[in-house]
Amino acid sequence: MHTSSIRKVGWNGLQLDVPSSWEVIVSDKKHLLFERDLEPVLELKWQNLPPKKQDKQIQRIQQGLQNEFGDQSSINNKGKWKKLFNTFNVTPCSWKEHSNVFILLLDCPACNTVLLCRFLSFSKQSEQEIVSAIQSIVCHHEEEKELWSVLDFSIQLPTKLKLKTYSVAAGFTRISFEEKGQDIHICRLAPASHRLQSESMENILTTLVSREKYKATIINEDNYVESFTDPSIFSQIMRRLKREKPFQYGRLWHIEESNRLLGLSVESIRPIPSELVKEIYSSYEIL
Amino acid sequence: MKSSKQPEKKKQLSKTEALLCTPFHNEIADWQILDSGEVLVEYPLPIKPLFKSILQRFSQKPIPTPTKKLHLDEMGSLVWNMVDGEKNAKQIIKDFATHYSITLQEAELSVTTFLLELGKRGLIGME
Repeated sequence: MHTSSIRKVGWNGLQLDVPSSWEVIVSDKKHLLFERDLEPVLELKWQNLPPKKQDKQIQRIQQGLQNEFGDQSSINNKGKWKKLFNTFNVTPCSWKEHSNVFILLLDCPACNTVLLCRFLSFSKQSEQEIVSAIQSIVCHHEEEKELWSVLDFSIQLPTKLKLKTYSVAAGFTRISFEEKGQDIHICRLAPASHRLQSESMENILTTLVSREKYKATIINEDNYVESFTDPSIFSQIMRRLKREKPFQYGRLWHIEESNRLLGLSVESIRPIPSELVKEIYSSYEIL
Repeated sequence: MKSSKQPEKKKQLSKTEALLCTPFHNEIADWQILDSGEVLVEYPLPIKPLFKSILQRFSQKPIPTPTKKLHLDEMGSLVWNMVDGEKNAKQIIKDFATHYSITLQEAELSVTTFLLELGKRGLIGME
């Protein structure tokens, strides 16, 4: 029997356990695609809605699906799906004319998240894995930190941070978050050996935090580089007038065993607490 | 009266189908491996017949076809060498990911973009 290890995936408020052989592809801020061996297996899209709008939105999604795939066929064994889930209200949808389209609509009454799970692989093994993955979905929690884990990295960030932008390019991933007056960027460069052949870590950090503008203190150690600004009151006022964030912190470190460079950059209108950056970078790791 | 016949839409390949296609070098591309291990590709630049005829009027001798040189970096050269008419795109992506120890998603992104660019220049074909 095929057995595979499990990894925890976390992205923008959603967490689930998937087989390690699955690749996680971030398609949008609230849209993930899972692939095995470059073949799609499962697609997840979700939205958080006010309770009043939840039913309407589900109807709207169903209408949209009907427009795309035609009339739905009835599901004979609805219980098969419904009894699997304690957290969510489940609406299974399938289509006669499209035997390869099967979708589960889940809505969570606790946090008003509406989730669309589309099965993209229909072998018995895949179906079992998909069901287990969906069963493990967590869309709300009370913890102060939230897991972000896609590609080959994982990081714990304060729940109050909001995802601003992200980009997944070949060898370079960058995710930006914002909180009142503070921007936090995390990045990952691969393969490190290739990057370090042509540039020093200090240069890479300069590019990442666009530090040329400000005088920064640089700490250059064997496997990490750090930079931070300590602007005077006058300089702070001038930068604020230019709508710039005067306090900057940057750190780039080399994980030799996995051949990756990890980076953290924080810009803020207030002094950056060292505990915050330490907490963030110590939880940032390659899986 | 307008013809009721609509031009047939080209069937778009799914991602899975596209990755099963096998790239091959086109004959127009002349290439060599440099001492550094990098690949230098030389290919003819297509000139519109109108421009060619204008140029011909001003010249006594036959006009040689202009060529362009493309110097591939280490990564590009690796992919170019992997294009052997036997390996499909999926296999190339996997080999590339293993070689540079990056994720399949990253490898897919860079290899497909590169192959697309080579295809646009007519340097490779897909079968």
